[in-house]
Amino acid sequence: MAMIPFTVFTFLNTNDLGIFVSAYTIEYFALRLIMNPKLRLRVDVLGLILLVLFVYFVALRVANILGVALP
Amino acid sequence: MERNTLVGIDFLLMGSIISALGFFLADSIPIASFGFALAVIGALILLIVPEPVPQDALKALLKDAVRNVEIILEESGLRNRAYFMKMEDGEIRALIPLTGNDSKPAATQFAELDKAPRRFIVNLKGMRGLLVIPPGNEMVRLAKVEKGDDLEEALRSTLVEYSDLARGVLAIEENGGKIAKVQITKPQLGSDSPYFNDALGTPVSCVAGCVAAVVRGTPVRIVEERYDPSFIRLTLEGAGGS
Repeated sequence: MAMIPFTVFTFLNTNDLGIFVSAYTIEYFALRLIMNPKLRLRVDVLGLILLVLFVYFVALRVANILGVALP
Repeated sequence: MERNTLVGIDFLLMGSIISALGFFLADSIPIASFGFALAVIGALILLIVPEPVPQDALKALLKDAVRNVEIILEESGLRNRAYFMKMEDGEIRALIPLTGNDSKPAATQFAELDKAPRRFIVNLKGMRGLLVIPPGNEMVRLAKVEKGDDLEEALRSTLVEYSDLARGVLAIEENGGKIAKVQITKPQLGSDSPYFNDALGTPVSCVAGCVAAVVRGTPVRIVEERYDPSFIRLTLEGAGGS
């Protein structure tokens, strides 16, 4: 998971935090589905935080493309 | 503090520090995201339930417990279907009757058995057999199953969520709740003990019998069991009164 930023930066030559967070979110849910670990909490707090961040960065990108200024 | 918690907190702290330093001081996104990744790994390690005893070791212990009961049943020559019943003190016991599967004890006989002192060999007002503690008795208590719970939900919480003994459970109740048909998908434990399987069912079915006895509040018996490595199909029948 920690190797992703260097791989992404090297091959895509990007410096966008949103891309890294999106990659972590996808990787987290994919690994969770495959390995299915037992968690201490019923609600997946970590997944929820990653999803919220993912949605935030996607919203920023969409607003950027549409030319809408966000607060 | 256990090892997993220490490692998790360590990764979380280091990740947060590296992320903050990378973002605010070094103004470098790759370093900040690397720190964020470390923090996420730390949070995940904190959230995962550690396994102090390997699953294989636990399965081996359970197999030995099953073999002990198998030895007793083999010596006694008993293969009749057991009645799973919850006693007054909260413990679940399995009564393996001496007489065949056709004759069913009455509700009053079960009530008398509940009041009588606990004995391994039962000989009480026409009811004769062996009274054992089935595998699953303690597990049902730890999974917090209670009388009146929905059967399918109780089976799922015990067999799938709590103990990982199966991957899925489906249950249908018929005849006013007297008969329950259960399908357990991908059971994780089997048994080569024929007497145990005939009397108490395979280990996963035995746990299901214990759950049903608690949920219904009356003695329950496995009348039919079809075992396959990918699923188990059970028919549970209530015995005695309501």
